[in-house]
Amino acid sequence: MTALMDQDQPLLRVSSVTKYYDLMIGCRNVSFDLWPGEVLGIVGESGSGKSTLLNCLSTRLEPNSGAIEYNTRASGLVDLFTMSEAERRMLMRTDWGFVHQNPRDGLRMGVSAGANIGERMMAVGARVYGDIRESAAHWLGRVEFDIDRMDHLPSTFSGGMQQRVQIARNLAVNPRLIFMDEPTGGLDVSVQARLLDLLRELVGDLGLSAIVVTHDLAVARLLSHRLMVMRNGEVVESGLTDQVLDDPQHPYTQLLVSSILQV
Amino acid sequence: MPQPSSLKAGYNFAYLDEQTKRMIRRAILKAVAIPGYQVPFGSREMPLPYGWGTGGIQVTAGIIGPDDTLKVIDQGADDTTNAVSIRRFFANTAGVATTEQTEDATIIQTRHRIPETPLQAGQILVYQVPIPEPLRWLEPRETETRKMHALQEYGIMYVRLYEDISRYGHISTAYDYPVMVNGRYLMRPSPIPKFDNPKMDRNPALQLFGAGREKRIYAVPPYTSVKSLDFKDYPFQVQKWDDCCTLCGADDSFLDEIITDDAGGRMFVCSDSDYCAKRRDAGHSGPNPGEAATKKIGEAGDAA
Amino acid sequence: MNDFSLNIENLSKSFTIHAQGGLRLPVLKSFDLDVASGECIALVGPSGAGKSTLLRCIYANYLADSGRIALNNHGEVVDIRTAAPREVLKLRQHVIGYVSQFLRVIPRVPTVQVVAEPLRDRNIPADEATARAEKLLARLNVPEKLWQIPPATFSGGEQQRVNIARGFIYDFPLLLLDEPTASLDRANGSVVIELINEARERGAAIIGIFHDEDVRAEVATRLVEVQPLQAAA
Repeated sequence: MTALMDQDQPLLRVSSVTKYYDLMIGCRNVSFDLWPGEVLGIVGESGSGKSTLLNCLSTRLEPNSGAIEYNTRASGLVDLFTMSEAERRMLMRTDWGFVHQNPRDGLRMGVSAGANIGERMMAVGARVYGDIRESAAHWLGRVEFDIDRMDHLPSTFSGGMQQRVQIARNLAVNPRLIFMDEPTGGLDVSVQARLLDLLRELVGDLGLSAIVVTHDLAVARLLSHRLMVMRNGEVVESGLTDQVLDDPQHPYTQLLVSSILQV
Repeated sequence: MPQPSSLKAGYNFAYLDEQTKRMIRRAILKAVAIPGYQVPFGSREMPLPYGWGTGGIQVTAGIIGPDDTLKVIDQGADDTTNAVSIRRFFANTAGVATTEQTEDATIIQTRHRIPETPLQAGQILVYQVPIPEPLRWLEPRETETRKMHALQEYGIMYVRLYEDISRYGHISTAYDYPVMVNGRYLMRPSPIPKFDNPKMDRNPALQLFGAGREKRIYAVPPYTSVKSLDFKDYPFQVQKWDDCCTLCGADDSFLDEIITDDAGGRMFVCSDSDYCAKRRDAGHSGPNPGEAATKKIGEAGDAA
Repeated sequence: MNDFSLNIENLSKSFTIHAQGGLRLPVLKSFDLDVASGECIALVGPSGAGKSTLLRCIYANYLADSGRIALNNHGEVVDIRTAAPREVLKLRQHVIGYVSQFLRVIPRVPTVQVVAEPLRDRNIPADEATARAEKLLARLNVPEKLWQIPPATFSGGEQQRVNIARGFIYDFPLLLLDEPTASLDRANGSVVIELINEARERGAAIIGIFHDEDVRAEVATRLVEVQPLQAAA
């Protein structure tokens, strides 16, 4: 993976984030810093709180307590939940991407692949059709999508192709941070391998920071620099990805690692 | 309120009760204060079905007074069923004078057209609106579209224009063409042809929009900027015809295409019947004024 | 490159197996080692003594229990044992090269890209990185027809040479070599010996495990013994 950017401030600073659903714990007391160019994997089984945490980080859910600060281009670290909604949504349009497990959640199925990518550019003010189209073609090319099909509807594509379009859509505005929720979850193994390699390459080449939620430790090993292991809403272990996987300290991490099926 | 003598007995003035009219007027005032913003209002059941102009009728009922002169057009014509019955409705329930002359009217209720004759300060144009929300076709959630308006997130609207160009090589949207009002709110102009869009811009008349089924009122105050969305390299353009009006020879008005026989025969006539008649009265004539006149009347008769 | 050194003090490492009631397996205890640039240290000791574990602790692949792994690079001292992940990643990019026994393959990435990756990580242009990778693969006698194929299906010896190429393509100040010649024939083994000696002569500090005594004799400047500990519950 490419050189980590040498910067003095983290891109995202998460302090004691807690989210309850009524009396149920979503996630509790999660803290970490994400630095520019870093890919953080969050692993854990279903119900471990990793999706709740991702939704809090991406401001889809508001935590009950704790702070999430983002290093904005204009004014440095700002608490996301003290921003106005307008500022927050602007940030999501310009600085962030979100790759959903199911491409249907991240794409407009009723408009063409090209328009799906163009929308992100038009949302930040692009008003020259020729430029928008050229840029859409460029990003579709980057995700190895057949340009001849850019005017077709996503519903006519395979799952792997839809996922490529979703990724291109997220990259089109040159974001700094991408959230990914099981980005290769519903795909065939062969498609998954190719897509993982592509994601790895793109994240590296573009110097993106990313937070990847997955229950697949192999995906985490391939994509992330650092790993957080969650269980019952809490982070039980975190560290360098290969260290957590090769020398797990917490009983639960040891159990997870020893449960991987060998091919 | 003094009741005019020509009023049919048993109705309150302009059909609606006074409280309802006040509620509608309050909504209109708010709409005028925030050009292009859709103001919710308590739309009432009217004695004709949704889709027949209940929104426009309620707005007209809210603003009409005994001294007003009402003109009603449907697709530009004064003599179609919808136009005739709405005109008759207000003649019966408000006893107001009606007219087919654009320049004589104080209130013009319209479905799908803006008159060719330029409107004057003091006139009010009331549009009947089927679907007021321009973002609806891409975003089904009302909570979300309201937020998008509040935050001016209108990029999505260009997606539609993008799709037009990528599919047809030009922006093919020909009616209900989205506009930006006063540089702030994205607005659906109701299904008028985009030919009429430029007339909305800085128009001296007050333009009011009523959507009965969707319960929304919005407005463009006089002399307000109304800009049609476009791309820099694909600028907004209105329709053009190779032909002129068969009846009056006009080449500057919106033309309806009329099929005259089963052998592919066709002709074009002004959609604005008042404008066409005035031109003919003034001595203008098209390629075949006689034949066409009978056809046009025949068409209208069939529709009724 | 003389202002580089690695000082390991009082290092202990044990494994706790929670699935077996917290069984504790100590591997290293109070281990000390100083390495300077230009040295090649061969770790010796019986299998299971903890030689590989030591290398992995230095690479921060394993988390040591206590002690200090102080890496002094041009006056900048970092304790690898307690360094933040991003500092360790930076060290792995710029300072520490590690040739493990097994190649952890990335699916579908061609061999030449696997080898060139350490250069690409340092923003060296793709064509230059590829050219250097090809040159090194050629020197290690990896057949040219394999260069564009992902190494997953290669033989053990071929995979090991890919791994070695990856470790030697960049001039890391510190090289950790875990049995780099184990599955190589004599001809290829001697290429690796050449590479190791060249790296040492340019000033690299090298710590390696070499089971073949002939290889050890040709590359090592010093032998360090790692003794197995008694397992204690």
